Amino acid sequence: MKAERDQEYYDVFARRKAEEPLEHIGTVGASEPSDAEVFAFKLYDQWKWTEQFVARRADIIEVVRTP
Amino acid sequence: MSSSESSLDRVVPADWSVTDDDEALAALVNLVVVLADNKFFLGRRFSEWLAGGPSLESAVALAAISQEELGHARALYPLLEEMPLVDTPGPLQRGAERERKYCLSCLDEPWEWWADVVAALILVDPALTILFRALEDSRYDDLRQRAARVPSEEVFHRKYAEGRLRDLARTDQGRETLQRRIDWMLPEVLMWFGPSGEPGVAALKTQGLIMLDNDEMRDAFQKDVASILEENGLRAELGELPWERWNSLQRRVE
Repeated sequence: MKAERDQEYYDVFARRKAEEPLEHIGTVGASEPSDAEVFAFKLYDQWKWTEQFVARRADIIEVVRTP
Repeated sequence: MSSSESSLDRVVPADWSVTDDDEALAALVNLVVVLADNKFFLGRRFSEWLAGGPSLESAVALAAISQEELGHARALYPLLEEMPLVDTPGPLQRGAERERKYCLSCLDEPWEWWADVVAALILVDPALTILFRALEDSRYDDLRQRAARVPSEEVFHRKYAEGRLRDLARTDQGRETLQRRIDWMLPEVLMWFGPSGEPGVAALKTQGLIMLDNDEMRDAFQKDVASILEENGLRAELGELPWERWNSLQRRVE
């Protein structure tokens, strides 16, 4: 029995200080936004971030993509 | 909390300002060791499933949760050394340092099923958090300060728990397996708050060391978990609780 629902990728963004730019720090696979939030918080804990966000990759609109 | 530990010297010294009530002091020692041992064994049981989790992300998150549970236990054990009593239980580091354990019996042995991990995440962890919340305004400064950090960390534990619950409960087979594990754990977790009007808890409340009595904690817990169980097609139906098998000192079913 598969113990998880289907997952999709979420991109994780964070910054350490308010004046620093937001950085893409990685991805997590999750089956709902709440899981993505928990997984990102627990996986990417290498710094004490001032802000951290997750965004469903499917919701990110590509403006430029160089092949 | 039990006040029946006969080996305790219950004379409260005049210079110990937390309480001057012997019954409250004995119950306070019991409260601290019960909370610490349950956190310790919950962390241990979670740690045994780090390689068995369904995905990398859920395994890493469970590792962090396990560390935090063990951290909560480590923060509590030093309080026992402050207590003006002889023969208070010592801290656990590997789990075998003393024979008498003050944890739920469902935490005694390694779990056979992932569903046990999920059931403990949704039942045991929130039950402990209810008790920590009941200590947030405790007159005992050292305990209040240690208790204060727990609920904020538990917010992520709860989100993780609810996600794993939804994972398992989405299929008939998963839901049935989880229901069996809930049926096993839930009666003991409800009893863990103690029988109505337990003298030790009443003494703690009278002394301003805890804010809720047995029934208030149990009600808060039931309200806390009822909706997530119901939303996922799980039942919290109970018959008579087996109080005849209740060990009030170790706060567990025998």
